[in-house]
Amino acid sequence: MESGKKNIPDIQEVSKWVEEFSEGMITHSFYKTRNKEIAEDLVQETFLSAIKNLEQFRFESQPKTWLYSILNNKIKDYHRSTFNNKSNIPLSDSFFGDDGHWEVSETPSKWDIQEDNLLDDEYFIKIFTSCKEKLPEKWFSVIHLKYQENKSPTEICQELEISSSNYWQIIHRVKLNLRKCLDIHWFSK
Amino acid sequence: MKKLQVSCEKATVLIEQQLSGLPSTGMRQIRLALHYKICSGCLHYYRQSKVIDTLLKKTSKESQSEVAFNKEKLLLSIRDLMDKK
Repeated sequence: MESGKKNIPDIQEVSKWVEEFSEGMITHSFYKTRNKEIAEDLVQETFLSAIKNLEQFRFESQPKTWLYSILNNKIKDYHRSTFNNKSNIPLSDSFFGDDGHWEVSETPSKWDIQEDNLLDDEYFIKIFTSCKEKLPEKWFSVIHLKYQENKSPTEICQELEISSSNYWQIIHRVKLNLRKCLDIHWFSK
Repeated sequence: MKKLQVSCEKATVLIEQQLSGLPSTGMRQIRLALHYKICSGCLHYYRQSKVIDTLLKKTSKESQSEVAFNKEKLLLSIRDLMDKK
């Protein structure tokens, strides 16, 4: 690109960006959303936004940086909307009685495990993954940010615009539900 | 004076906060000890929750390698968008 000759990228320039960056952007987006279709949609939306706002792009900045900043904003919007559009956190009161103590049938008992072996057991991981997939969709944003992005509770609350108590409630429910699911489908068998 | 009602539910929330690495203040430690003491099953819960943490980390990392997409389809749709513009 000859500097000073062009101030706004043209369609051919954007086509090059698509060729060069879309694959990495979809991988990045998938990594952050866990959903292939959504990842592709977000990248499409990113290019659409970029095309609409080409005049904002300056050639002294890197197109990749610019595109990824648009994409990251789209991913944040996606997490926020996923979180806010769903109904309130379902109450899984069945774990505890009115006094806050374990219901008899829910009281954790010992898992007979050798952790190292278990984590390498493909069938067990498959069971765990299917347990995870049964969790309400709105919890996934929290799980993703905590376990995949290693974000702190404060950062997650800020990003998803949720209260600290809401956050702990979700983490607590995630664990209770996964524990129960593994109990039923693996450890009790 | 407000009476502290100890419960397994509160113990498990405090366990989660501890496992998440929330700074362990003296007050939180005392609360956890009080709730934990009366909670049968909470020791198992603590151990199992740690296993689930490991599993969540492991499966989150593995899911990254699952991506496979139709790049041509995406390129076509993006080019279509650009043509419309």
